Amino acid sequence: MFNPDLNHEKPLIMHIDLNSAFATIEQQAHPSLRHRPIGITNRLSKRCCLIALSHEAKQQGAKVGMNLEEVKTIIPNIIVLESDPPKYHYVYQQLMKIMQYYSPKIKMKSIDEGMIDFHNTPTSLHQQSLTNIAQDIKQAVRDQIGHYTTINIGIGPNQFLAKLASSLHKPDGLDIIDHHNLVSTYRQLQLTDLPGIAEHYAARLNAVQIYQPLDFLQASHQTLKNLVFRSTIGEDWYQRLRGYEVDDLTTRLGQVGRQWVLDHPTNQTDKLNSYLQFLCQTTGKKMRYKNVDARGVLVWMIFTNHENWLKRKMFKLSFFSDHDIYSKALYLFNQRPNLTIQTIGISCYQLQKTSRNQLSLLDQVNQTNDLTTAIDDINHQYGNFQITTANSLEAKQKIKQKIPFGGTEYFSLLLEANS
Amino acid sequence: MDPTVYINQPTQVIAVFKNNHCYPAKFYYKNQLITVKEVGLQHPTHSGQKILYIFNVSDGQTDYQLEFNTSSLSWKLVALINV
Repeated sequence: MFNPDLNHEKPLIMHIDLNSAFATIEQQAHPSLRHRPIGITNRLSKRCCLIALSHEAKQQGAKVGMNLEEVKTIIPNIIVLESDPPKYHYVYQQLMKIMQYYSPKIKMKSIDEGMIDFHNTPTSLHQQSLTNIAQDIKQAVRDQIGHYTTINIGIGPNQFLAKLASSLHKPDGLDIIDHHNLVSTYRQLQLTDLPGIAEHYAARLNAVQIYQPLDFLQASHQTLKNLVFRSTIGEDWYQRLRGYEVDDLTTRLGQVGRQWVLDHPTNQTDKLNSYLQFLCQTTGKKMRYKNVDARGVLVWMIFTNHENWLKRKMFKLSFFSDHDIYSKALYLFNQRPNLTIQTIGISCYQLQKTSRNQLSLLDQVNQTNDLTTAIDDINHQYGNFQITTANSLEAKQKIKQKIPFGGTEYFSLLLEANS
Repeated sequence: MDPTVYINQPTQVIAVFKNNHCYPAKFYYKNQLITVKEVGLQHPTHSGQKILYIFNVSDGQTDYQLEFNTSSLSWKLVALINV
């Protein structure tokens, strides 16, 4: 008989997910938009991508990531708003405060979702069931953010099962997955319902006759490691599916960068230089915000004929100033093929803890540091890019800082940039 | 498609203190006194180091966005949404 060796630990991980976050927050703010199909985009244009949809829009068949033209064929009367980062940041902070009340160990996974670890929390909390605590949190969200705002809560023995539980009954759901109901829950799901399994991984699993989550659970760790994922990722999945924690990791900052899709593709050098310099300045700001210096620069682009181009270079000395990043990026950028550019991006890598606090023997290094600090201070006081290079002025008008998918590590910086 | 209409004009506001918070209760728009029936969401934002408070309010039909500047102690009607 199949023995899945499940984790029998009491479920103490709670995953909290704000339903259709940006759209719900707009509906909370604007009562006239409630119970209507609405979408949020970063820049309103004919073919803009919708980064969030209200529950009503999703019910009518629209999907996040579709462009506006596609969505309008499904929902002709959809209301579309541009994203408003300060609003979302406020709700993010409120949600974080509510979560911190219950445990010191919380982790915000993105702008609209977070996790509370109830291991090592006071025993007074354990006297309540986590279901009661979850109901308290739902009420706190309604009281402190607004009565229209709902959250999904999932509880499980590891982050994966807690997140899966939170996705079972949207919106406003509350579910627990533990060793008692894990197999029966998997039985009702498809592979792509599992967090982290998209179509690409599903195809790999299908190739070894794994078609359902239960097949996935029954697969040996050798099969997952050697045949499906061809790395230790397979072993992680073997543990994760059984409720053992493998995702409690702190990731190291590998690279910092910025990209931009041009609204009007071009190969005009003066315009492109302006965009590149602006992207270098925002990258420099992110690096200094994270207190890191870089040694490598990578410039990449996608042309209108869909070809890609990428060039990278490592340098002997680390750098942190906007000017240094730009001069190094420009050196690479000038080697590009003469084609019309659709998307342009720059990244700095080989990051290391900044050495800016250390006085240099070289005056020029100290002067660069002083000038960069002075510009950052002024921009912090009066709003970002109040002091900027003349060359990047055109880009400053066009490129706005917008809400990113995923992480929240630059959220405060993003708000400064919008001020 | 986007029902937001930007106004960006100073306005006069009657505010109340309730539960230790300040809320706009009435304000003028085009010489009409608008009564706030619901504060949908209020949140701070920044302009450099200046703190602004945004109040998203509704009179039951139209949604309005009011901004309170904590440096100049002035109110501005930023936008309205009329679906």
